Amino acid sequence: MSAIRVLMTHELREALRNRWLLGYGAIFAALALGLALVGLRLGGAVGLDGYGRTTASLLNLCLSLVPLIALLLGSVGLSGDRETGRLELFLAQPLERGHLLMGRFLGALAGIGLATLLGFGIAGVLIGLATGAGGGLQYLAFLGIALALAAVFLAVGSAVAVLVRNRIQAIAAALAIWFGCVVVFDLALIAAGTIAGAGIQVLTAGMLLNPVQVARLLALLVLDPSLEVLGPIGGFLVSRLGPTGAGALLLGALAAWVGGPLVLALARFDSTDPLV
Amino acid sequence: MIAIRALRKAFGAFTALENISAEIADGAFALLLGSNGAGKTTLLRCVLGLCSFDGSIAVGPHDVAADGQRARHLVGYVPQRPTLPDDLTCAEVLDLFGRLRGLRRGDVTWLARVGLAGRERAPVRTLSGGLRQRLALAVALQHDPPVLLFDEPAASLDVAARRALHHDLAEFARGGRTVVLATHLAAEPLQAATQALVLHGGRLVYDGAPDRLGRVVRQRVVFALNGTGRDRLRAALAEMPDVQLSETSGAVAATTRPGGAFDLVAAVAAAGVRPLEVHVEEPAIEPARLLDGAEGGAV
Repeated sequence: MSAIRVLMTHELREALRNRWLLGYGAIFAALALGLALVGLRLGGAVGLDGYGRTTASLLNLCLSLVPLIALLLGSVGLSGDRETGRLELFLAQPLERGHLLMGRFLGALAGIGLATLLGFGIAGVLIGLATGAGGGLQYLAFLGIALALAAVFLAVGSAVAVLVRNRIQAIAAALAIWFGCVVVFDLALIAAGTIAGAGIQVLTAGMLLNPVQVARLLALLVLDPSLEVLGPIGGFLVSRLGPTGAGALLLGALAAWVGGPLVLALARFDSTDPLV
Repeated sequence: MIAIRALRKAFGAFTALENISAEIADGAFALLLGSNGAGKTTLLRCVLGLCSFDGSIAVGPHDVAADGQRARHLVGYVPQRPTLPDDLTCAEVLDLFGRLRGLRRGDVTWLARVGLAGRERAPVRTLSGGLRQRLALAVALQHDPPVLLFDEPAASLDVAARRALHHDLAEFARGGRTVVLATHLAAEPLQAATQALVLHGGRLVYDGAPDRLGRVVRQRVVFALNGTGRDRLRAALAEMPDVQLSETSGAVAATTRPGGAFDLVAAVAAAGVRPLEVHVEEPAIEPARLLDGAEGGAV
């Protein structure tokens, strides 16, 4: 465990020294504040208070950007280290390979988490000061979902890094996965429902295969669990399992999306020649 | 200290190492010689357990395949490209790798011992290639390992730094450590080493005393020409004893014994030939001469 802690601290330190990660936090803070100001100017047109309106506005942004950042950070880091020779130096230390992977994963997650919390947190404090604390808990839950999404796509990125041979392949694979999850999957689900006539149970099972959709539904469940906002799949889940059960299922799906790719990455990293 | 038995390593259809068996004793200064692509790096990576292999390797009492983590505890390693984290300072680098080896913190006294005194706070990115090599050496030494592996550490060093490094390695061995130096250069370390292993095409073609390798160490001098004087140059070199020639469209390369380079250049000058450029390469082992019987192989 000590080696994991050392590597995690190192990774976090590297992430904090990495200007683009801090830039990512600053961009999120600026966008959150901008969206909050625009939402407040509209004067409650969507029926939500300060936090709720900002959270709703940020949701799509978060569901697009967080997976992209996490995928790139997870996949490029290790594959880049393989190319530069740094991976060889770390593997030559008396570590278990799994500890190396886990240390990097946790450190990168802490880095993204800190940048996200900083970005959204600054905006959250300012919104709270301007509008009062109404909806603050929803905002915090939204932050938690953003972090869970970051963990999912860091894990997927780690698996990509282990499976590909170089940084270019890692970037290509990360972008393809991101595009598939954020753009193609929605269209495929709509096509399955309208053209192939897939039933609601099939569509719900399909939705669980895309962590972006899982996070979206979970966020909507926290933000406004009314049927017109949740849509048919969310409505089906709530009607079958209740809001708590649906939330638990979605959280479980996100946890599986963290654990599955990590286990795959660990197994592969441990069983193959990691420098080839 | 290091025992290798029937080692075989393949990458798909390509066999990088075939049937390697060797022992390197405690306190030995062993040279792992061979040209580029001979399998030196792969062999070192196998010893460290960084890749899978057939056969067996033990470092001290630890089997590398079964217990690589404990085997690596005994080994300090300086890779060919010691890519240390650029943003860290020298002290932070020592701290990071020291903690990974279970030390409470990095031992910065090693910086002075490898010639980096006063650079504790210098970021790695400000160090030259040679100084980074020295920092990598401090990283490898700070936990006082009984085995040291070096993969072409002299590649990025100038001649003076290279000589200093080879001197240090011999000192480490005299101090009781087992030192393995993988290199394609041979002249200087051969004088200090106690054992030589020569790889050629993934096979071990020599395992024995370094002094018996003297005749297969060769030095190449390349004369770049602009089209004139080739015949005179060829004639001048043909009269020299123990010289082999090879030619390309723009150059003539002469291979001779180590230290014979000056005689070749003098003979060419005496023949009135003025090459565009003369490049004297470092003496290196020619494993093919072992197979030809120029030296009785010990394997």
